[in-house]
Order: sequence, then C-alpha cells, then structure tokens
Amino acid sequence: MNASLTRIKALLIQDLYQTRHSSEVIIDVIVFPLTNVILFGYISLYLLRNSTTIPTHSLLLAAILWESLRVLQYTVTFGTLWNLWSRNLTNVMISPISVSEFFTAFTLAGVLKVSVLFLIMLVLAATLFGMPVSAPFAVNLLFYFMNLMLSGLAFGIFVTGMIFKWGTKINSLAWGLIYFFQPISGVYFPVSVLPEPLRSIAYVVPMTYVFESARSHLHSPRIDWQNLGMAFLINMLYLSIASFAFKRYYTASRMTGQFARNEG
Amino acid sequence: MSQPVLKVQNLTKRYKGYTAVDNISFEIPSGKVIGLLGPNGAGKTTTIQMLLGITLADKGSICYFGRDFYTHRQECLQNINFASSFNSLQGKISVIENLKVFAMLYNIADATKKIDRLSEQLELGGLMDDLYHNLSAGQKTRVNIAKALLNDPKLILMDEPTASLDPDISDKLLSIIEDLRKESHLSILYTSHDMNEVARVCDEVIFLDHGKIIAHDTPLGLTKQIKTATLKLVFEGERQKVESYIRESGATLVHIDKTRVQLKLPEQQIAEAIFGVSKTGAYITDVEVEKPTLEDFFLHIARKNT
Repeated sequence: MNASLTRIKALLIQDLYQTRHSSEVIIDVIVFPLTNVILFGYISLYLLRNSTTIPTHSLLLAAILWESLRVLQYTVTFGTLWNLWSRNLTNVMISPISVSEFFTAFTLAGVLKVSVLFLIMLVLAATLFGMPVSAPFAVNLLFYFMNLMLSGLAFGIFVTGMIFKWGTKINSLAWGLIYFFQPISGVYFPVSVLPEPLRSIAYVVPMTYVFESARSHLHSPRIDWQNLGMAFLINMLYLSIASFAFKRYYTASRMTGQFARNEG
Repeated sequence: MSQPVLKVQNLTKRYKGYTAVDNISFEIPSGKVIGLLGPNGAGKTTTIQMLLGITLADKGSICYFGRDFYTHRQECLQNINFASSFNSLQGKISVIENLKVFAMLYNIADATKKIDRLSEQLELGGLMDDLYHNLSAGQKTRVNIAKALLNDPKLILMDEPTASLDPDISDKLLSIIEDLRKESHLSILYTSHDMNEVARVCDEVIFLDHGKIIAHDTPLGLTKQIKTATLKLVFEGERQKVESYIRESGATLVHIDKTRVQLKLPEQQIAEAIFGVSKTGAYITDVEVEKPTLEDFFLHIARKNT
C-alpha cells in the first residue's frame, strides 16, 4: 500500500478505535440518530391518522437525511477535536501526514459510519413506520446522500479551521454551527413557509435543494436532476470556500502561535 | 565533516509587542545531544514549535539533513520525531492502539515487530492494553518515547521530557536516552529546566535569553564562564579576625558563624584565602570547594535580567 493510503488508513483506524472506546461517540452517532428516527416515525404515524394533506413520511425522511448530514460533519470535526482534547494533535500533525490526507481520513470515517447508519435508519423507517422506498426513489436517495456528505464535509472543514484559529473556546460550534442552518434549509417544512429575506438566503444553502427535493419526490418515480444539480454546484462552491478559509485559518493559527496554544 | 542533521539560520519569530525568537542560528551535528536552555520566556518552546512546523517563522530557514523543511516537509518529518511531557497520545484508546496508529502514520514496515521491540526496551509489556489516560505520568512518558522512536528517527526533539516525573523515573528515562545514543547514531535537541540532567546527557548547550543565543558551548565550557567558586571552611578561632580578613581580601562573604565561613571568590584566589584565614590564627578543620555548575550559569543569566 502506498504511504499516503497508509497514513489515511492510520487515522481511519484511530477513528474506529475512538468510536469503539467512547460512549460519547456511540451516543452521538448511533443512539441520537436512531432515537430521532423513532420520534419522527411516530410523529409521522400520528399525522397520517389525522391528516391527508401533509406528506407525512417526508418528516421521517427529513430526519434521516438531517442525521446523516450531522453525523458526517460531526465525524470530520470531532476527528480533530478528540486529538486536540487529548493533546495528541501536535503528534499527528508533525507526522508526515498532509492536511488533505488528514481530512480524507476523517471524511472516509464519516462516510463509512453514515452509510451503515443510513441503511439502518431506512430499514427502521420502512419496516416500523411504512415509509415507501421505491427503486427510482432509491436513486434520488443516493444522490441526496452524496450531496449531504459534501455539505457535511464543507461544514466540517470550515469549523475545524475556525477552531484552529480561535481555539477550543469556540468548540461548541463543532456540534452547534450546523443547527443555525436547520431553519433555513427547509428540513422539516417547505422554504415557501419562510418570509422573503430568509427564503432568498435558503436558496444559497445546498441542503435546501436536497430537502425540498426529498419532500416533493418521495412518491415520484423520476430523478430530480434540477435540485440535485443545484445542490451539487452550491456544495462545490461551499467546499471551495471552506478549503480556502481552512487554509487561511490554519496558516493564521500557526503564525500567531494559536495552533500550539490550543493544546495548552 | 558530515552534514548536520539540523541547520537553523536566522530564525526569528515576533508576536505582538515582543520578539520571542531573535535571529538565532545553530546546527546539530549527527549523533550529538544538544541542550536548549534558558529562563522562562527565553524562546525555547517557540523554537521547538517552529522546528516542528506547528508555528511558522517570520524569518529564517530550517534545514533537516540538508533539505529545506518548508519545501520538503514530509521527507523531513519522516526522519525526525518529538517527545514532550506537555503532549499526550489519544487518551481514550489503548497504548497498543496508539502505537499502531503512529506506526501507520510513519509507514513502518513490520510494525508489530518494531512495537514489540520498543515495548521490551521501554518495559511497556504490561501496559499495552491499558487505556492511555489511565497510565501514570512516568508510564505515559515511556509510551511517548516509544512513539518518538517508532520511525527510527535521526533526530528527536525533546521538550522537557522529565517534567512532572519523580527523580527515580527521570533517572530511568535519562538512562534510556544514554542507551539509545550508544546503540544508534541518534541526535537529540533537548530542553529542560534541570541543569544536572542537561549536564548529564548533553554534549553541547545552547543558552537562550530573550530570544537570543547568548552562549553555545559544552556544559563545562559554560560553567567556566562563571569565574567565582564557593569556599566553605570550618575553623576554630576568633570569628572577628576571620571576618575582617575576608572583608579586606575582596572576597564576597556569604555566611559566617562561630565555626563556619562561606565565601565566593575567583578560583585562583582559593589557596590564598585558605592561607590568609589560617594566618589570622584560626585552625582550619575542614575545607570544601564548590566549583561553578551549569545551574550557577543559568542563575547568573536569569538574575542578571531580573
């Protein structure tokens, strides 16, 4: 195996060890998402009994997609934070690993975790709460998944850069920043509900297109290229901005000495 | 002459309002242990951070094995390592898991064999399955050293590796370092506040103060810069006569009581002082001369600036 792949594998395995030993990670990436699916499953059943106008399963699907996004961003950011909190980040960063290998490792760790979680959540939703998962919709689902992974990666890289630059005093952004985007991403309700200034902002958030599409295409046999394409383009823009910001923040943190101070 | 493992030229780091490292240049020859000493705030840690790339220099160059660090980062890092009492490994995973991760990060061939050998050398056998955060300070230090040796580095940067260790564990660690030097041609840049430790393991000492190198010599060479020695005499006789002789002689009287006197004076005047005290009619029953130590040099510099 070439040296670069071995270094990526090293951090993938570190993340696996960390997950195995840490009840916090297990709760954050397994227990909370499954609890949310069950919660929204029952909300969906309740609404199904009392209304015929609300696309009830779309709430459950939104919960599944949101948790997938959250867990990926969590894994990317917390891969750094667990090392920082252990005062091991210097040891990792002074090994021959590059920044791109570092993020590739934690992104792969996140995608692996989310893939397993996503399948479990879908099975739960379909078997316990009757959410329809048709073959054409599965293709949409795959593209939703890929787009949300890109969004999660962009947020993860951006937050990690911020923590490098401003230190662990802002580490609550690691799990909190994404929630600022939840009300304007049309996760549980259509963007049309939002007042005008927020509606315009919503359309520059890539996740909005995924959630809007998921809501409208749950029972549709066709692939929603328009929303998926827009989500992908905006995700690419977000990833570019996040990578650029990270590079600047990382350099600034090493210039000011903050990077070394982050480990106390 | 072989190429130095590390060559630092005009390294400078400024923070808002002060210069942490001020235009320093030095080399570490292959196989040498170089101590980096200085009072708090002298710039030792900032220097180490720049040498590792976790802090960026404002000016100057760092070359490992003849290659520029910033343009050949991976190649340089593959051949150096770092151990510090201020850094740890991942706390929530076991010792063996941590070592496996770093073995992969450094792309070590036959990692299991290498880890087994280090485990035996550093007596980690019983700790391998323990979670890192459950280890004692001494055990953590030994694991950190094992991590630092995984890639067979040509140079290790050690930032106060014995801080927070009890004297027995510190002594064991120093013995390990001495053994490593004997077995391999390892170079070490070593910072510590313990002067005895530095005198024991370092071939040369670079003394930093206010970010500048103010001395670079062997430990013995540095102590020779302190010209005064301490003379302790036990005597039977008239204290006043002894005291007035010492005051007239120009030596610095540190302490005197009915039977003991302690003074500081240039080394070449010791014999004259002993002779002078005996000429006052005092009968000298014991003589003790303390030559200057590295600690005296350290205190001399530190106090000069307070």
